[in-house]
Amino acid sequence: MDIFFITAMTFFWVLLIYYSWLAVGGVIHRRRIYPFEKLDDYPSVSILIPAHNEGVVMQYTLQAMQALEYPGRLQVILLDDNSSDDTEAIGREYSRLFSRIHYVQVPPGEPKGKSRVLNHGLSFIDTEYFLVYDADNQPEPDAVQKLVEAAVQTKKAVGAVGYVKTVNARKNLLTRMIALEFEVFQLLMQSGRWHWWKMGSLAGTNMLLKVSALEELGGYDEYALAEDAELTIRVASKGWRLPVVPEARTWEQEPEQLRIFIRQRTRWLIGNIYLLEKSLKDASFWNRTTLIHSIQHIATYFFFVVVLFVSNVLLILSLFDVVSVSLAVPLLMVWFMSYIVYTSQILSAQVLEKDAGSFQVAVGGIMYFTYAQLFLVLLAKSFFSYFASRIRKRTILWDKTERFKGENS
Amino acid sequence: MKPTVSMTILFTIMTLCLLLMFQVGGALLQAISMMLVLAAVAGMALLPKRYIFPAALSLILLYGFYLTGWSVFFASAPAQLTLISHHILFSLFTVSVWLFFASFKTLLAEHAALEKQVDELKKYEPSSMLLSISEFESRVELMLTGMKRRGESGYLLHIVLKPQVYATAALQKSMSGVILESIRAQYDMATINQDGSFSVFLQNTDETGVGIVKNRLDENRQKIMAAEEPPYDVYSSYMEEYDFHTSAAQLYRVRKEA
Repeated sequence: MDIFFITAMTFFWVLLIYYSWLAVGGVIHRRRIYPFEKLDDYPSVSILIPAHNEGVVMQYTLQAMQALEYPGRLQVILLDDNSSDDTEAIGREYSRLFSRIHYVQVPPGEPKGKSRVLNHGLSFIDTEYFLVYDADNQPEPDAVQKLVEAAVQTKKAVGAVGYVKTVNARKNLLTRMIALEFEVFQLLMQSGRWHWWKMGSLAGTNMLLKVSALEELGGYDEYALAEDAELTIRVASKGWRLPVVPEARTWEQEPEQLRIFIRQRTRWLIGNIYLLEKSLKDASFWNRTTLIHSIQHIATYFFFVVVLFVSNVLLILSLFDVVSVSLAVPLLMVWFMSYIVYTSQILSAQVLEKDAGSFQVAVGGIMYFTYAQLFLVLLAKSFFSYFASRIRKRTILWDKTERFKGENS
Repeated sequence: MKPTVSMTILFTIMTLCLLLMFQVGGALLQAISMMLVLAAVAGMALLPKRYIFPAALSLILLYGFYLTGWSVFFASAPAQLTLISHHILFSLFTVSVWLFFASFKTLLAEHAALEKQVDELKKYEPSSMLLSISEFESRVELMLTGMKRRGESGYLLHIVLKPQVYATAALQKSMSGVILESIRAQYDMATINQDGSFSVFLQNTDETGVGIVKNRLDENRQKIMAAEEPPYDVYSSYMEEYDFHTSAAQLYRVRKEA
């Protein structure tokens, strides 16, 4: 029992120190001065927006697309995946008015989901780069230009990844925590990975990629629910790079209700479990350039969960004297410090984002006990759904995130 | 939450933490606390702004690891719960002092920035860099006085967007850019009215000049808009009697008749 506790504690602290190291790198990367110069010639870019029943947000998205400032050729393609609301009417009105915006109806097909829609969009574009935005995104006017400048001027880069900010962060406690999670894990850690190892990972949105690179990789994996994470590994396995550009910002909606949040995150986690399984079967996931991605993936989605789950069970059993721990190590103090280190990371991200008001800091203080613990529940739910579908030999269906009215402009 | 409310709460937390900190633990722990509290307050007051947060965070983390080390290596260390309570109180105190100072400094900075912004907003319509209505009217009236003295003629244009179901805001923003590109930056002026139409004042020009501007509007519009037909109508009026309000009223009549 003691050995298990010591192993678990060591594992937690290794992960915590690793993330703290990333956070330090992230802080250094975020505080730099934008290092890229203006280009003489800007390459052509297609923006792909997959959409299924996005009428609530679509006009604000297209409004932001029309406001993008890009010195090269830029086209925006709304890929309507059989919407039954007014997505089509909005798309058609914008494409009739503005030469930059095009409306395309995606033919019905299987498997359902973003990857198939993106592959359809990629089949007819003629630009050098493509950029994906989710249907609720409102990029800042210079976002595309900044991503392109970084992609063109970074050695071995085939694209670039920007920063996703939460437009409805102040709506309620849940959206505040999601926004905080994005600040810490999406930007700070992502920036840290780039700073230390020149390793960026694609997000599902605000990501630029060379069309020729994706063609060489064989397009999107249509069965991947976390298509961004899956593609990241394949890009890394080629030795290609994806610079992280915090200055290229887009704003998106996050779930305002716990029910929608759970469904969205379950889909993401199932996607990551799919990737985990793929990584165990495919040797290319473990070469020199993909090793860190894969180790991090397996540590987070497998070892961490197993250790956390078993130690929670043991803790409960020891409370009822079913098992006993005879360690001289002050476990409580060590656990407390892990809380302090975790909260310090959140606080650092808040300060960097100039988001450290009194209430926000208080929200950051309770994240560990609330939001972070949800991860375990979500992961258990996702593992159950994943294996249940595998046993029944069914394809897991794409679950679209519901959008909300308001706070769009 | 209003800054005054949050600052009062922070002050209360600071005071409570200080009081409680000196009730928990033995003399040694309290002596360490006293030194750390003094270091934290002095640091916040004396350090340059950019170093305050890293310093506060370092202090919290180092103190935490010091207490952990004490607990691990010395059997005589106070109970874990005492150490944890002490660290929580110290961290709360430090974070509250930092937030208090930060709120105060932010209020001062915001005040200065807002004053500057208000001055700018008095001149421009913020999202488009068109002039605000009041700035447009006062500048036109000023220019008309000069034009009258020099015997020059001027024109007032109204650009009215055709109604759209979903893309009204996007069209308005794009047209702002088109208009600014199509008029002479040094001589002409434009504003957006409350009904979403645009008013453009063309100084020292005649009907030929108005025609040139209309063509330029169409050329620039076609660079970004797909529609064959312009999604707007243009009405123009000669600035009679060098009076802005008379000319504007006349233009509204022309629009209404059209």
